[in-house]
This record gives sequence, C-alpha cells and structure tokens, in this order.
Amino acid sequence: MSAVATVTLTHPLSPEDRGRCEFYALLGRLYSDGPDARLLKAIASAARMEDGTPLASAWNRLIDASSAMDAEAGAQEYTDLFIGVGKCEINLHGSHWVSGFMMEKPLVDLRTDLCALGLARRDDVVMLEDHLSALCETMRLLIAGQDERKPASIATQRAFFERHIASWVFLCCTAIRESAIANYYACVAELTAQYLAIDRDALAMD
Amino acid sequence: MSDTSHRDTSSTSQRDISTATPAKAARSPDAARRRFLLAFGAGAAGAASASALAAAPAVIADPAQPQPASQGYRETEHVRRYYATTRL
Repeated sequence: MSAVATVTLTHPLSPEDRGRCEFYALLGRLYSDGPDARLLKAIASAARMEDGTPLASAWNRLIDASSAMDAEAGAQEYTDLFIGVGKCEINLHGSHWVSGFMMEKPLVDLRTDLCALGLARRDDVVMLEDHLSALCETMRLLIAGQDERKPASIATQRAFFERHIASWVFLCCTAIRESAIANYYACVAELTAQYLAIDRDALAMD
Repeated sequence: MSDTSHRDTSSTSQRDISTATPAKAARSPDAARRRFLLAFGAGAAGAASASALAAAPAVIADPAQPQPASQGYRETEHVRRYYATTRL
C-alpha cells in the first residue's frame, strides 16, 4: 500500500474538475495508509490558500500539520485510528455507518452500481469498495476518466456521491475530529468535511 | 487563492472540455457550478498543489481481464494470496 503514483490525466479537464480530481486523489491517498515522508513533504510545501474560507483554513492547517508530522508518527496514528483487530477506533467503511455492520447491504448496492459503471475492485486488492479511500478514488475516476473511459456526466457523479458517500461521510469525519487519539487525521478529516460539503453542493446544482 | 493559476490552465483545457463532454444540454448549471467551485477554492488548491498530490494506490479499476462466462469460483490473485497465507 505504499505505492505512490502521480496522477496522470488522459482526458482534458476544466480547472475546477482538475481541482476536484486532485482533492479526491489526495484524500483517497490519505485514507488508504499513513502519509509517507514524500507525501508529507509535498503537502507541507504546497501553496497556501489565502481566501479565508473554511476550506482554505482547513487546507492551511493540513499544510502546517504536514510540516510538523513525521512519517513514523503518521503511520502509527493511521494504525491506531483506522486499523484494529475486531474493532477499530474509527471505521472508514460506508456499510458500517449506514447499516451498523461491515459488508452489509450498502456494500452490495455499491458493488451493483460499480458494476453498472463498468468498474470493479482490482484482483490484487483487499480493501473493500466502500472504504472511504476507494470511494474517493472512484469519484476521481468518474470525474477524470481513464484511458478509454470518458469522464462521467455530472448526473452520474451526483448519483454516485449521494448514494454512497453523502449519507455517512460527514458523520465519519466528525467522529475522527472528535477522537481523542486523532491529531494529524483531525486536520485531514476537517479538510475532508469542508471539501466534500462543497463538492456535494456543487454536484447538487441543476 | 491564486486566480492567475486558474486562467493559465483554463485557456487550454476549458475549451477542450466544452467540445469533449457529451453533456451539453445543461450549460448554465455547469457555469454556475464552475463559479461556485472556483469561489470556494476547490479549484484553487488543486491548481496550487498540482505537483504535490499523489494518487491513492489503485483500488478501483476497469476490470482488466475479460470476465469468464461462469460467475462462480475464480482463482484470482487475491485468492492465491489467501491460500499462500494458509500454507504451513
């Protein structure tokens, strides 16, 4: 899970869709595993947003947190928060939040929808499709397309987001922020909540 | 928020997208959405940090292999790895 690849876009995208892709790519990466040294350095040296919006504050706090964090502590925090035997502090799977159990009907619904979109989990991956990281990556794929796959329509993106992400992700972010053991990931969760609220509202425009 | 960086990129790609996307019926909601996203900086951080961001390990993909006719058991890499862990 330590593989880090730079995003390459195969379809021309508008600047705001490119921004959305990069947010989803970053969030997908941060929820897939603890941040490694290269990622922390990259975030720490990214440009700050100076427009005073809640998203800008959250982004700037993540920049500050990334420059103060080291990879070992990041990996430890990720493990403490999101990985546990039996029960973890914060569960990142949608099914858990929607139905109360892992691998319940919400995951079945998600797999059905992914199948209709021509998407599936890779054979070499053990992460479930309703993991927040996988959902972020799916959104990125829908927005950007890949190789032969064209970017999905806004209607498709909106349907996927509302059906599989919107109903639980904000509760999950709040739980991370309020967790006593979250430090770096409290910043990540704040950015996630701020960003996804904007994307939800943007997708709802019709 | 670095407005200049939007315009740098928009001149090339914004033109392309208008011809490339099939959804041309809903033009004005798209424009509103664009203004909304840019106003809240959702485009800005992306533009600002384009070089910084890394993709997640690929979890979801177009199924690379053709699906076999049977929907039953398949020996996937995942299954092979599972069996590898059960070997004594």
